[in-house]
Amino acid sequence: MPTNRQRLIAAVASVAITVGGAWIASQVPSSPADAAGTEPSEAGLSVKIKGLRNDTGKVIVMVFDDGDAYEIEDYENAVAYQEVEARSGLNAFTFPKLKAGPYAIVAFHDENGDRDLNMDGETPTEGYATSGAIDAYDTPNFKRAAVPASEVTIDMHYPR
Amino acid sequence: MQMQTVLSPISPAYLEWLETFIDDWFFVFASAFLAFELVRYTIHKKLSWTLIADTVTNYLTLAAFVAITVFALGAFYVAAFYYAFQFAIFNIEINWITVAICVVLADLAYYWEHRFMHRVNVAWATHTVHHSSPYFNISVAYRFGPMDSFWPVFFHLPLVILGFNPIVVLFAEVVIQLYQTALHTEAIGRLPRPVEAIMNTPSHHRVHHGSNWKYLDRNYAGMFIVWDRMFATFAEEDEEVIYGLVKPIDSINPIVAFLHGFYRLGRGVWQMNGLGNKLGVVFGPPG
Repeated sequence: MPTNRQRLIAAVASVAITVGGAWIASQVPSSPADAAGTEPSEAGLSVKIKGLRNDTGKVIVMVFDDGDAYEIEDYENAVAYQEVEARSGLNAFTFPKLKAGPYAIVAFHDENGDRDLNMDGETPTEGYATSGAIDAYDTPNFKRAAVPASEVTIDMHYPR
Repeated sequence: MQMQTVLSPISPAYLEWLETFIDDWFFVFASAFLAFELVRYTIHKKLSWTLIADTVTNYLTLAAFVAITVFALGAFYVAAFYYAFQFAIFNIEINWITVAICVVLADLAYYWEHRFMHRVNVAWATHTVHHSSPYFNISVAYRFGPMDSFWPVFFHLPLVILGFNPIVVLFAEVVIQLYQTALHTEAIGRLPRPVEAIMNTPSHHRVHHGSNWKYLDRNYAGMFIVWDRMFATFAEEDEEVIYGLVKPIDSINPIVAFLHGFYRLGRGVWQMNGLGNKLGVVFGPPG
């Protein structure tokens, strides 16, 4: 039977190991996703969004160079913003003025024209795309989403 | 396509799929292993109708436990985890390195959860079901009590609050459970010393299931026996194990098996005089 002193030491050690272990885990980076070009270019940033499911409404694209603005999708602090009629399949955008990097791109397919990404609880009902995302449910942080590239192709996902 | 490495990001959706996949296939493997154990019992002339009935009872408790989890406790589990995740302290990526770290930390959490379930009577009321079989084979691993998916929440919630995604924590818990499932057998003797030193093994777990006096309240480990060695709750297997409870239930009735813990708890509270003593029965150690 452990003594009270042993119990106390065990509890303290366990808390230290758990908190320490979680801190170590938070320092482990994930390798970022591939990008087509890896150097910024004098021609600016080219974004291709593929997989749009119809021609309805608009595609809204926001480019961020700031992590805080990216996390809350603060379009007023986006470094670039475009709103274009949606076309089924592949849609291409260019941002000639964006010559540095890295940039994180967030886009959505505003099918009903209310300029907002409609949600059903936690799931979008319209199309949603993020640079650096590995699948429809991935919401990468800025470090993983931002690509140092001049050309990026991202998938439009439709969870519903 | 980029090369997949241990640092490649993993989506929670994938982990959820993988967890169900290995859980289901492990059940298939366990069923095959049980068939082998039944043959072994026959060869050793230990097969009896009581043993077969007890094996069936194990799976009946599993069905009842799954029903309770799916229709009630599961919702509490998920809600608690996702509520807590909002307050995540660290921002932890999901890749195989961080999943491995979570498995180790979840195993430490499991050690304490398991120790709690043996030393606090109200939690023992559900865990005693698992220990109530007088036999020891892989079907015993699937013998569960009514509130077995209630207590783990509290011990794993700190991991979610620290920043591990709820799906990652659940994946770790399933891995730890499945590892232990494989330990419930008499068919595997001592493993090589380095393994017995660090990992939980069938030998260590036989000790845990023993009602021998020197084996009581020992070897709480999930995957790593290291915690028992560090925290003075370790015992070596050096005498033949008598499986089951100190006060056996002597029954193959699945209802008796599933509910005897709460029955004994209720009876103990009822028979004890004085509120202080009654609370002692609920929150004190069993026995």
